[in-house]
Amino acid sequence: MSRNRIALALIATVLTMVAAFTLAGPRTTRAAPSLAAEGKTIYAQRCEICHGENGDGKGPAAEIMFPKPRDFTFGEFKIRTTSSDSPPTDGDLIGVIGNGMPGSTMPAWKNVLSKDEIAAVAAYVKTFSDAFGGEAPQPIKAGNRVKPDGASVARGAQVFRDVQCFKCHGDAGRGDGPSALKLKDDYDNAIFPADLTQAWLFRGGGTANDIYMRIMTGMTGSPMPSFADALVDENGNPDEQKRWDLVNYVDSLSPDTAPEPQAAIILKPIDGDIPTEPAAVQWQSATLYYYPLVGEIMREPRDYTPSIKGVWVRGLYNSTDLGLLVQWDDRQQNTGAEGQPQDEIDVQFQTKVPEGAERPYFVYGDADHPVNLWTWTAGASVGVEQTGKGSDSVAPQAAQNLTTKSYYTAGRYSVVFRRSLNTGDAEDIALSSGVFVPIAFAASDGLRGETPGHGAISSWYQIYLGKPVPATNYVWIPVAVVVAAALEALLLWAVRRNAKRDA
Amino acid sequence: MTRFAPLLRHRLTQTIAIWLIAFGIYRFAIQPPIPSSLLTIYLGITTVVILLWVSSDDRGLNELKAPLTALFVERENRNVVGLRWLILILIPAFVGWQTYLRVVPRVEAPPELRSIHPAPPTTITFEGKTIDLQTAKNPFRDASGKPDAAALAAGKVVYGTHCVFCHGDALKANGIFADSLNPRPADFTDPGTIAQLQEGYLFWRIAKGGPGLPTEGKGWNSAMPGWEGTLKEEEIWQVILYLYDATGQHPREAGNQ
Repeated sequence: MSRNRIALALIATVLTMVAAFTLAGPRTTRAAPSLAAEGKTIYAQRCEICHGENGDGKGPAAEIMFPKPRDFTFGEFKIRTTSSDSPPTDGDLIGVIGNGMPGSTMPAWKNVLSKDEIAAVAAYVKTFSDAFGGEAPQPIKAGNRVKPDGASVARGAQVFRDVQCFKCHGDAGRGDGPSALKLKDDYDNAIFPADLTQAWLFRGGGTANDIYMRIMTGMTGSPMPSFADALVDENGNPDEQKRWDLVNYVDSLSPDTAPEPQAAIILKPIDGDIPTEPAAVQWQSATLYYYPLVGEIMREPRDYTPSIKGVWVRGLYNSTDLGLLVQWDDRQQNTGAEGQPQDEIDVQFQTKVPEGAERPYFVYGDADHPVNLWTWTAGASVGVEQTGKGSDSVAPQAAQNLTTKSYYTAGRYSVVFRRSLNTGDAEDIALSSGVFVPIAFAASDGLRGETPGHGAISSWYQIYLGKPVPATNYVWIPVAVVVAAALEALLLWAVRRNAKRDA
Repeated sequence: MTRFAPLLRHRLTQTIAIWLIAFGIYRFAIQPPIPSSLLTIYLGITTVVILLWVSSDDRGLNELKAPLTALFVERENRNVVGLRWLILILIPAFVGWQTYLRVVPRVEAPPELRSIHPAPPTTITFEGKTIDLQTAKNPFRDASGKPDAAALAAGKVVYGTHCVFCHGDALKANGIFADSLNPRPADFTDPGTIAQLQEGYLFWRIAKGGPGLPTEGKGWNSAMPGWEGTLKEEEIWQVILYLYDATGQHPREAGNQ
């Protein structure tokens, strides 16, 4: 056979294969039995522990989870691109399995399973309910996004008020609206509206398109309804501008990804006094740090799903004092009335600056390594210095050296702690510039019955009071520039003199 | 091609080309990458050699000098004059910037040095019972090391109800708390973790957690809870079975160093 013939044969084969695939058309959305069977094996291995053997969301691990794993037998799914009376598309199910549901225990399986495996699991999940029996559900069509400029965001803020999003999500979007605390889902589990300022915890993703779909399709089974009928013009026709304005406003409330926790809070000294007012303008000049919190899972009742997800911290210091502005989102102010637990925040230091890498146990220290706690409680609304030698032995100190000021507004606490760098008290951390000092945070939310030791806690990070750079250091910069310029002038002069001589 | 031939034969072009090629080799071709201090030394030597070569005859020296001299003395061509001023300003500015970086120190948190697998004690006391970690055997394995099926299933439930929030559904240290812990939880699929350890070692780490680490391991600053008092002895052995089975790893045999 000549070379040409081989080439011809190859081209013919490729064309036939392309034609075969094209003519076969898109895969049908009805679950093919074999795909579902393959999915069943993966489901048993990966999903059953939470979602249960029968898909009823009652796996052995479900008990410690909040939000609860989905019960597939109802055929109700929160994350859809389909209208509110429709089941999700295959793409929706595959998306949720692949990307997980941030802020819940549903992980992103795309890191573990292949695309085909995820599609197989999605096919198997559909077999638990009759909801998927009919025609393949179609996604709703979103109009073109309105440019997210200031004007659109401002109009969106008005829509947010007009359609009463604030009733659940709160005036500033922190999930603290007047109806926020009494909500239940269709399965009678307590449920809280999303904190719109933490888009990285949105179950269905935090992009503008995700937000559009959640608002327009609702989150079936949860109290979040579809707003498709409310976001219309005077004639009752869909108003895409209104819809996207609202999306742009919600999107503007938060970055899409969680702020990265930094290993150390690094502070620069300031000249003036350290403000005690949380609203003081000086705080705006301090770098903002975010630290995520985890549940204190060791002591009964174990808190696997703490309410406070993270704290924002800013710091200022001068020659005598350190000030920390600590802020966190909390849906309700709980002051400990009627015997209910109260809200609390703790800043943890090791009592002594450690010499090696050894740290106290991060949950309120241990007997050998006590911690110095700066504790603020919502009831008394004052800061107290405590010494912790473990969760069960935390006690106020005899000498109190803290100044605190706090306020609660629109679902957020702001507390300023101010203390002398060095109090002379042996139970207090002595702070000086140029030294890294371990620091940790803990918060408990009275609304969910959390108490200190049964709340949210961070691991150890560090705080560093930067040494002021001596003014004499800066002198070297102009000196270096002048020397470089002088050398250049010398070179220029020498080259030109030589050139003249050569000419 | 002929248009560029004189340019290619020009010593200044050649000098720059050789220098760039040398830099490319040092910086990208050598793997693993060499430290920047060594790179500077290599480049310095290369630069000296190139200058020696190019100045070894009159032609080379003249060709190298002529454009540079022209850059310094040109008065008519506005482009050349502009380039001259640009260079004259950029060099002191660069020197000033480098000086700034040196006199105003940047602060970085010190690295947390830690020993990854600190030596375990020879024996531990668990719920009042002494367990010899060197000889401890998983009671749910038969003589050939095969796990008991019921114990394995029970281990999976122990994992799902206690470990999953940090170590994750996929045992890859990707639980919802994992990003918030420093250091991160152990990744059991990593061949550097449980595959290197005996089952007795795992029993110790699970039972005693971060607080049970010896002093030299405390730099770990581990958030691992001690599960003694929460999990029963059998449950710990069961979950160990699951860790190995689910990741496809095998424990290191006792005495097999």
